[in-house]
Amino acid sequence: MKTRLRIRRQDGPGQASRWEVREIHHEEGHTVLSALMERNSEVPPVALEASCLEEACGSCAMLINGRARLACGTLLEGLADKDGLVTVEPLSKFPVVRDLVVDRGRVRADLLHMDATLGETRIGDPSRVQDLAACVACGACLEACPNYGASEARGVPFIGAVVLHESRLANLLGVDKVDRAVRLEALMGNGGIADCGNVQNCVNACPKDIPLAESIAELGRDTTVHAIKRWLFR
Amino acid sequence: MLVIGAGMAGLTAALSALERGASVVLLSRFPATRSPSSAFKGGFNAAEGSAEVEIHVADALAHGGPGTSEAMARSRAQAAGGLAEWLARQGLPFDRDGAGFLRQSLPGSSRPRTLSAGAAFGRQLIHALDGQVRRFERAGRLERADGWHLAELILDDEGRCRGAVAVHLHTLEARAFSADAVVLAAGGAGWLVKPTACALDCDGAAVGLAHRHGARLQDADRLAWHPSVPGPDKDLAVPPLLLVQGAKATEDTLDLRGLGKPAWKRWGGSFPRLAAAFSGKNPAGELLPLRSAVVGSLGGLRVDEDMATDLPGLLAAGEAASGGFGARALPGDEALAWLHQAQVAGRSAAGAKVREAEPAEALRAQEATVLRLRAVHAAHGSTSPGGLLAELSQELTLALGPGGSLEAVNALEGLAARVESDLWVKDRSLVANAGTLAALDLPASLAWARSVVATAAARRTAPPDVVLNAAWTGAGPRIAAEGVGA
Repeated sequence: MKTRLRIRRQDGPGQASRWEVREIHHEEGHTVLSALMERNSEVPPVALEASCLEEACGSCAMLINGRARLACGTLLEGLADKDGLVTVEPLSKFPVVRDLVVDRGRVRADLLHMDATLGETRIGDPSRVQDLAACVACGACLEACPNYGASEARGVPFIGAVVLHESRLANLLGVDKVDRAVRLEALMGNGGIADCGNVQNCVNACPKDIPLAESIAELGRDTTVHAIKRWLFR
Repeated sequence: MLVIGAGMAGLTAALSALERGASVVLLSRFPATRSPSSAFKGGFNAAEGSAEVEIHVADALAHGGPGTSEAMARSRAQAAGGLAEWLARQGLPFDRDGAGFLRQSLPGSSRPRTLSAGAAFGRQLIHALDGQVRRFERAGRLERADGWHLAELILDDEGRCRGAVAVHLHTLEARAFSADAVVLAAGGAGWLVKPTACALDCDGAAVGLAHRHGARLQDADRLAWHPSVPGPDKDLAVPPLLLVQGAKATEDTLDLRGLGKPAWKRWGGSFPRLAAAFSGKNPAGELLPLRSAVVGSLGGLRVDEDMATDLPGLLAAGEAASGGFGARALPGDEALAWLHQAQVAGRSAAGAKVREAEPAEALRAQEATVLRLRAVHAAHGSTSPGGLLAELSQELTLALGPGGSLEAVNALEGLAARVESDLWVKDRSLVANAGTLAALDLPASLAWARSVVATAAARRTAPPDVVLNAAWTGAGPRIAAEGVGA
């Protein structure tokens, strides 16, 4: 089978981007990643990040026909548009380093800043925690979110679903009440939960089916309760 | 201290050291969640009570054969219970059964002893450990260096390891990281032998680097193989727990039809969907194709009971270190070994009392790497690093198959010569240049590959109850047998 990939190339940070069209031959079961790696002995090769090749690590998250997908699990078959093209671009919410490689460091910085960390823990229902602890910070939810990466309304950018979810998980698993309160305070500040518009694009975008909207709703409840308690016990 | 690699072993070694008051720099090519450990499926064996521990040791010896290290098997079997409790405290959501941990029996285990955390054990492990490490990071006890590719070890005049030089993945900047102890937890080399179910990053280059500097490899030819569904870029290993729960595997087919959707999800995770996509078959009604593929390295750097390699100052843990498994690891012992070794390494390194590299030593090593980078870009031969790695992979695959070890020895010598004289990195960009990093790694990858092949050749005539150690001389590997009773 033949497909044409339309790839957005960029040589370095801040440089102009350009389109490149490649014709690729592929078999049944081949993915967008297979196609990208197939002709990468040509110069210059398309820079990309990939590791596990089985949708477990989140490295290869990129825009495929405008949607954030994991390239290693996205089959080529049926993907081409009416012009026979599959469009591949880097995630748009992160600074481009080169071609399809973006710098997702901001997510790690936000996780640290919001103290989405684990200390002493207690697991209630392991199955439920397993479903929640499946996030690998691929960035698909952040890509889909209209508020993430939008102009900073109050000077602090919205932290997005990953960090909200991991903060909620830290509170769910963590035993220390002071830690929980401090996290909630941080989430009630600028860039936190109030910046979520409840559009729920994140849930649909997540390749691991993590119940992100549920996490955000829980946080909404917890921060409200916290605010009331804080006011009552002033 | 410096930990190289942020997978399950690196994170565990870091935490182990941090618990003992050390401050740690955790260096990795990518953030922990992107480690190949995130894709690890299965569980980890933890027998309860001394009688069960003895049966565990007996099973491991029976499964691995006469070349299995009883000392290492016993050491980890004894530590397993405490390790399980430690992991639970870190927040790992082990599956439960009534009041206690759910224990299942993987093939080779005569008793139920395998703990699990759903379909994606590795991802759960990384999530919990990464969350714990982040706490120390926030408190200033640990510094993360994400996006750095190991390029060189810093050795002093006495050959002692005092740190490492790494190259940044995005900018190709070279930087020295001095440390009073270095733990190499950079993973295995399963990507290079086909068919493989390992991640792209499992290229063994870090192990090869230590090996070139004098650290012996033990049982370098031993790999872990597992039933897998063929895929476009690599194979998909069948989650071991699916097999325990009723999936049926023959030599070349996998039957998931007897399991309901809930079991698929709980024990299979994303496997049924991906296997369907890659094979074009519907697992609800059809058999899936199956074959044996590499899922990891069993051999690695030779370590003593404190996880010290032959290079003073350099410890190893995880797949990078030899696990003393013999011919095959008892299913469930792999993760146990990697985590246990990592705890020991972290403990040992935290207690190390050596000086870090002098600024002059570190600067010398850093400049040497910059020169190598320039040389790689100046070279104008005819072989690309990718092409050479592909040839290396082919030779290794042939060598570890039914025949052909001796031919591979010569072929790899030829490749080594071409690395010296015929390399050409067409892409001269200084931004996110994977080809340049692959070229930097080639001498290390080749040393490793040549030792693997020499070990495989020696294995044919070696008695069954030995381990085979490969020492790197300037000219090539030298293999020596060591009694496994030691």
